[in-house]
Amino acid sequence: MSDAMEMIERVEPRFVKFGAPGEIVEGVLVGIKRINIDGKPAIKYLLDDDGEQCTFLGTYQLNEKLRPADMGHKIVVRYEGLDTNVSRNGNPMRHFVVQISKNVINKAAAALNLGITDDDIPF
Amino acid sequence: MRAIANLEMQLRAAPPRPSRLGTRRTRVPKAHVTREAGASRREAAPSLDTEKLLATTVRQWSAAQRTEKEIRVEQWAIKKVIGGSIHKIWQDYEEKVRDARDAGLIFESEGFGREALKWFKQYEQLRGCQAQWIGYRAACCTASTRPVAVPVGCNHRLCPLCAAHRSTVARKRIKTLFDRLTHPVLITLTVPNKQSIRKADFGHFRKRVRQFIAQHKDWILGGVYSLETTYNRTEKSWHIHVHVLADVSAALPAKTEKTLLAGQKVYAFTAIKLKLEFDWVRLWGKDWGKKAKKDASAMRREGDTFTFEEWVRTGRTSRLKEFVCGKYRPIEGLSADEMRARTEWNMRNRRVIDVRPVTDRDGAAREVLKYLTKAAAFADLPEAIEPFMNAVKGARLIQTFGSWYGVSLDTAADFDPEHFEDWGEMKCACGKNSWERMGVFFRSDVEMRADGRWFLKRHIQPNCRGTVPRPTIRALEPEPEEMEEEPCPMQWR
Repeated sequence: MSDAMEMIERVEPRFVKFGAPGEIVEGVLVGIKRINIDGKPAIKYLLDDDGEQCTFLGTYQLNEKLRPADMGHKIVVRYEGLDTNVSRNGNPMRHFVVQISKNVINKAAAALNLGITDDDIPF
Repeated sequence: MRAIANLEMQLRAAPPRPSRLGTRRTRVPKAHVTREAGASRREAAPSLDTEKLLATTVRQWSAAQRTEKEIRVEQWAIKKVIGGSIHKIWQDYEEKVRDARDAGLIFESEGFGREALKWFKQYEQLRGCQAQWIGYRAACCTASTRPVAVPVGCNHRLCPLCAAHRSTVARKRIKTLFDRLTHPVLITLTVPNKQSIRKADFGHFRKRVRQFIAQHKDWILGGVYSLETTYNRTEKSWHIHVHVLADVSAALPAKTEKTLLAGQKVYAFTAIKLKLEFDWVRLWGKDWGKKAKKDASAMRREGDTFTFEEWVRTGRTSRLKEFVCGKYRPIEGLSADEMRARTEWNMRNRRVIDVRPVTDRDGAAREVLKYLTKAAAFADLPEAIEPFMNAVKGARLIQTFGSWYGVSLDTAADFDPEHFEDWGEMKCACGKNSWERMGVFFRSDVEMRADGRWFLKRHIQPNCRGTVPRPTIRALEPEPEEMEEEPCPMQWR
């Protein structure tokens, strides 16, 4: 390995598990992946915040609020706590506040978008 | 809303409520675009996103990405859970048998023994579902068409594999019947939750639904209804309700149409809905009398209208919520006694019903047939599985009526040569589609293609007669001839 070459260590994304109400995660949405947890399908989101990456799993409300078309946009997710009025299999719903930037921040990530949008049409 | 790093952010609103299959989502109102004088009309041009990809949520996208394999894995997982619950019920009864025997209670032990045997049979039935497959080869072009496999199902009421197949077949038939409908409407009728369910409850409920349909036969021409049961885990109560997919003689009124009801101007749709609710309430109690027959005297019919308006007026004065600032909110300033009195009146005299025109035909068909797969919601609760199975044993949960009467929807999941197409488009290479049975195969001898079709594995030759040993029928076998006992050759030494 050459001494002149500057190397950076590639670390795996930090996994965020929302525990206490008020926790905030922010960054540019660069990945949405379908995964399997104990045989059940789940969604994993990957955020990039100035080179620091973090991932978190999608809950019902997050999956409803976020869209594949949000790839490349900056998002802010704030965990608000449990909503005991709505539950499934005895598990209360987790409540989140999600904010999305109006403009695309990372065009490369936006290009990975899963569908064709108005931006893709050149006229 | 706050700005982060000079970015303009927008708050993403949560859905109004968790969505249900087959129900229409509340459409997000279109933002009003204000155009300045002289501005180009291009700004107001409709979006080119005709497929609504920009509005597709991750949840919807994820659901669309589900493969047949994933669906199969989910069904197997549910089947495993249901199997575990039934196994526990069986083991509990076995334990009771042992305890009764130890205590010398012969009569009780026999009773528990019968229950244990019943649940053991159900467990075996569920366990053996799709363990064997019947192979079919193309008789016309055997060499160029891969042999297909059709599962031998268990037809257990709770089996998710069989239920999914039954549901698919029935949905296909309902969708073809939609062509006969002029004004399809989906009506949901409910009653308050019950702490326990018995078979008689379903019979009683069906009787009331039949009466309701007969009372409105001028309006409801025909259709299909299905009884659905859900279990509330928190309150440990049962909720029996019915979904009626009906063809009605006249379309539901437009949203803007208004009419006068009990001294107040209300939407015509609301008036119809209240009338249906009142008729449903009267079928379950004696407080408001019976509905007047068609040939009743004018005075009797006027009295009927008066009773209905009286019920509407009392309902208005007994309401617990009011419409304020575009939303229903609890009425403030009510005393505890007043609140209790109003709650009691509503519990006794009001029922939740839902009436909506069908716009999504596939969704409506799914809603009606949801009862088939609904049991998965309490699959992990043996204390719920047992009463449910006892209550629905032999109960008819789906029924066609009127113009749809006689159409069979809930068919067995077994292979039926007359409905070969139920297992998908069976097409051979030459197009003649002549199939002949090969034999019975084990689960390990079949495989699923990406589109969900099942085939025999490639190593199995088309002339194979099956891998499952055929049962021997002794009566048909030639009896071995009795050999005359030959004298043992002896020899002197």
